[in-house]
Amino acid sequence: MRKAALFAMLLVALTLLAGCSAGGQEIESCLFVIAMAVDPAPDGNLTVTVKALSGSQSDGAEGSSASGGQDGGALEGNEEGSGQSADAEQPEPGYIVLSATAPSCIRALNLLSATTPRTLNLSQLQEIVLSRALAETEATLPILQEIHSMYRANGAAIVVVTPDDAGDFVRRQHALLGVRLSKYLRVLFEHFSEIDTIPPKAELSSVIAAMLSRTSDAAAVYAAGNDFSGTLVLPGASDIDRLPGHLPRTSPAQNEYLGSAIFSGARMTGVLTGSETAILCLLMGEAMTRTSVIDGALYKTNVRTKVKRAIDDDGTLSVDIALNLTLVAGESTRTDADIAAEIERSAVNLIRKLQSMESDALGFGDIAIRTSLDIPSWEARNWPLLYTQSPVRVTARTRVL
Amino acid sequence: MPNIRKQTGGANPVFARRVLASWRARAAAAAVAVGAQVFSLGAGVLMTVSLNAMWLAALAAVPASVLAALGARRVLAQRLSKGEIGGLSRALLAALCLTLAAAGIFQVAALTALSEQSLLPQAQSLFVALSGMTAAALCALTGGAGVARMAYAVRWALPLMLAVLTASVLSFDTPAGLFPLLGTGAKALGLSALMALSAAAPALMLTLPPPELDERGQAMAPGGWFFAWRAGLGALGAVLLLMAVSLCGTYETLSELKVWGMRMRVVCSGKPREGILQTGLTLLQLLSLVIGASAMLSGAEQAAVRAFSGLARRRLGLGLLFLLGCGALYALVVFGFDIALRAAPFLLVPTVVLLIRA
Amino acid sequence: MCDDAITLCPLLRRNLEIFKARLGAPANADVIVRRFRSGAFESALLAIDGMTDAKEVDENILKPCMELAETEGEHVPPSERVGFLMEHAVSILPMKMKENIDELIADALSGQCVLLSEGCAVACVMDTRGFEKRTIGRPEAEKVVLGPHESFTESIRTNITLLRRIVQREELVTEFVSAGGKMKTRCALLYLRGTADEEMIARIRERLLGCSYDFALTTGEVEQLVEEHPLSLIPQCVRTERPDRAASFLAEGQVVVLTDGSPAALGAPSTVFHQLHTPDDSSMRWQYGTFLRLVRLIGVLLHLFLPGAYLAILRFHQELLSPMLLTSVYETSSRVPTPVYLEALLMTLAFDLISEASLRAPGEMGNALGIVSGLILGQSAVSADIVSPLLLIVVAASGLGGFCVPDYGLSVGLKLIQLVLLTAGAVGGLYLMALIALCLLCALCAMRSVGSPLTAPLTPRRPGNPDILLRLPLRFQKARAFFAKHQETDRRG
Repeated sequence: MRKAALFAMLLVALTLLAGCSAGGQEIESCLFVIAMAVDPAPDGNLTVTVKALSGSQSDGAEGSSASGGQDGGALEGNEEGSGQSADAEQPEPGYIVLSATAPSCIRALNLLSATTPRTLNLSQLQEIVLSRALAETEATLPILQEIHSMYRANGAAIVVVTPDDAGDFVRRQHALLGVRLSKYLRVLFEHFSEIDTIPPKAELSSVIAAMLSRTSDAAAVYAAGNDFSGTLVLPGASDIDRLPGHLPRTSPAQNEYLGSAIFSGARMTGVLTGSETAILCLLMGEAMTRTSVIDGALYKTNVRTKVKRAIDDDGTLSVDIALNLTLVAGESTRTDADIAAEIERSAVNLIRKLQSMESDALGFGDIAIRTSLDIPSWEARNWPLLYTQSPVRVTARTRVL
Repeated sequence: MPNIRKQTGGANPVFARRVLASWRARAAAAAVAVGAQVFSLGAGVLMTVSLNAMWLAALAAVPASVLAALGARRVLAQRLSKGEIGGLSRALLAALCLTLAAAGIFQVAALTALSEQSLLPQAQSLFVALSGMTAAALCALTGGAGVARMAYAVRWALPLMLAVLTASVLSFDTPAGLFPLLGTGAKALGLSALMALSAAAPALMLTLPPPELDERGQAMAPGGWFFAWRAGLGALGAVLLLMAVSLCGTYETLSELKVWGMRMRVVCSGKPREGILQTGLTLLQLLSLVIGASAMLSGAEQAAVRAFSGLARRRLGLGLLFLLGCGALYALVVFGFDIALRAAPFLLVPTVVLLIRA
Repeated sequence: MCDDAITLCPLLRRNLEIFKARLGAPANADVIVRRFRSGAFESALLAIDGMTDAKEVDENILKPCMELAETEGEHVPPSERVGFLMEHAVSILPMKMKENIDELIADALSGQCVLLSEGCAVACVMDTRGFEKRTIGRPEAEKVVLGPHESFTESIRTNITLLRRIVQREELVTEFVSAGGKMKTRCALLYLRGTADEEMIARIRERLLGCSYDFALTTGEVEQLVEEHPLSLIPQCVRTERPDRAASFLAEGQVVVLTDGSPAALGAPSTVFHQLHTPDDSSMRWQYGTFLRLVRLIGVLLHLFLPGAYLAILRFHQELLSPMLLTSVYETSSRVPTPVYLEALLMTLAFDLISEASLRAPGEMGNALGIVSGLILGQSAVSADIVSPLLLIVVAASGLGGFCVPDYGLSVGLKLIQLVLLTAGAVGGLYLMALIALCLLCALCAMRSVGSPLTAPLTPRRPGNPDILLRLPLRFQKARAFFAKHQETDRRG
């Protein structure tokens, strides 16, 4: 009886399972997208450009471009788009660039899947580039949510905003060092993250969560292409106190990643320069070890204690930082107090700038919410308005070793 | 093991140790099942009501599990011990069978929902559901001894690995997800806590002794607290995992999660780690659910065999439960998992009613 | 009485006729029936040519009996004549008095001598075995770096001797059991009286006696008689060709079964952990032993899960691959003509074919086979884009892991499980692999070996020697295995 029951059980299960599919597919039937760009197109459409693995070392041909009309269904040749694409830099071997235009991002991606003999796979996505024009609208959040949830994009992909054409930005993005674009991008973002020239938590899932949240706001990476025509060295406190696209340098790579695109809710409301981004990282407690140049002297910075953010009883937004600065090279001409005052000034300026952008990128809302017992009482406080009106206080304690 | 030693009079310590080992294995299986039920219910039902405070509501399941385990040993064991059982006891056993079977099917449904959103997003739901049901039934084929011993073997490794992996995927920078503490409000929290009580249903499997013990062994059993603290720990572990889900994001991100399977994933938006660690964590959750479902099925089979003498041939009972489970899962796949989520808070009702009458 | 063809009768002539008829003499040239005068009466010797030590028979039986004076034994009652000869003439040490003809014939066929006398309905069986046998050599399948290098042989007597040299205890009992139908195989049950559980011994004995197979049994067949789950892929007894390992089984409270004609011993009951232990673990210091066990465990896990996990990741969970690895796999997979599941199955089969062929190929050819298959076939297959190089590495690593399994039976069982998990990974990804692995583990936990749980003492919990996964220092191994009877669980003394 026992064996008969086992047999019967297996038979029933196998019969029912035989008609089902587990959804497996051969790896070569997938189109792995490494970089993606979204631009606004005429008539309220969106153009999605993807750079994907072609599966061949020698295949460097530009991919097809397809666009849809009002209903997004018809396939038409887009000569203007093709003409623009033809002027762009050829993708390197092993990669293919495809684009599609449709009323929404998801429909554009569906169109790409329908016209390419491969299943679109965003699990290896390294960066999503949005044009600034699009980021300054409310459309950003739905686009990112669609990509993340429906196409199961890699949540660790970095969100980048560019004032240029995002599709051209992705086309220009090559693996400058090494062979693989995916590895190059990963190392690139890790490096810039270490030197604090890009904001922390610029990953796709973090940006979406911050956009949805009332307790903090998102900060994405700001990037632009440099045509290397500008060689003017502008005077400033720091060489990275500027926006990307205008650095006095030359390189095979045109794309520059520097600074932050600041969001208030789902809408981009401003940008931070590279040095402002470094202060942002410091205030968020992400800049644990960095190198700073102060008056020609090179210092190595360790954050001695955790950065403490708090909201005082009178509603003042306060940040307390303790820094050890180790002199590495040059001669120290400033005292501990001077450096601390300088840091305090920079930090206060930054927070006020963020307040003017209506963006709680530092996450003071995470602290404010603790005093509310439930969601209705929290939402009744109208924290976004309270935040912009709160006074600011930063206390920095430094020690030069 | 003072109780069992007293019962044997110290004459046969080897036999006493073996009896205790069987009971320990059964208690471990019950603990895993309780934890799986609390987590599934918390992510499926309590989160929709209390949002980020669902872990607080799920705390009510801890004392409920303890009481259920105590009640199962002290009150029901006397009524349902082997021998002549009356009409009320038979009804109680039938209710127990249905409760445990429903709990097992619920856990397979949870397994399906989780796997669809994490491991097999492209698979047909029916494939995932039936595979899970078949696996649970096969594990229960040995009368529950195999799955109970398996649960005992992983009694420390499973929660430890869950804790390690959860800690590695979480970002502890700001515990923003825990606030506001009461979630959608005190009233909703109270309602959630009431619904969480039904998550203690798996503890009722402790009413029935391990089938591998002979007549002599079945008569000996450790005291109620032997099982109670284990069931309570299982529930507490699930509460901590629900807390981890809360920590993954804010209440706004939780409210955006409309699908049951997405709510069960411990994916931190602040530190996305969608790789081996995440997959490992999902697999551990999956294993807990299968062990829980299998333990429930074997308990239901045992209760069915005792309640309905026509099912004296044990494997027939399991076969019927398997078919029932397949049918229920097919219906859930077609009509949606919401049916299971709406029915889950009422799992304990029939048994409690009969208990009160008893 | 002489009509009874089951027991001997006093008439020597009649007895010899029965023996000749049963053994097919004189057509059967191997049968020796030697009649001679032993003192005042006639006697006869029955033996099989080539099975006995002729010199011993001549010098210790025939010569002394024939040199008796003609009046010697004339006053001895006929029923005691064989006894008289044993006391006054024959100088062979092992001997038994029997009257059952079937038993006498079985003893003669096994190489013993049967002495009969006129008027006596009892015969004496003397152990005069002197057939050619292999000398004690080195173990073939259980090689060790440190530790003894002796192995069992096909002679059951030699094997028992090898064990008794190591286990010099008065409690060591050797029970002979004849298993089989018409063709009986001599088996020996060895155990330590007071340490091994009597119920367990009785169970094994009963299973052996209940065997009615009519062919020569080997250790493998005895194992199949003793085991409780014939359909299982995991063996339930542990086999060894090393006397030192068999001796350790005895000390743990297990029963060792030796089979005449097989150079291996069977230890029962056993656990799945016993099958992963090697004698090297005990010979080395505990740190090295623990490390090697962990390496072996990793090898087993790789062997079971690596190919299936590889397929699962490629087909279902590509997000687990690092971008660098994905690009390499993507490019190579694009060139391979077959689906990855078929590719993996073919490679696994090829690996199994090579290992099986190298086992069967004689000496020098076996060495060359490895070079041909590995270098030429593997390299050529990759160059021709028939297989992807990463899959080749995966299959090779998995195969190496399989070679780490000390027990050959277990390694074959694990190969079958590997194929099941490979298919599961291809069909349902990590999800289905996890489900099937759990089902197999639950089945393993429910299995028993002669009444003892196969996964004990890990689960269910049993007190005893904690030497399970980790090789603990000797001072922590204070108790015997849980198989042993409770009275002797402390082996400090």
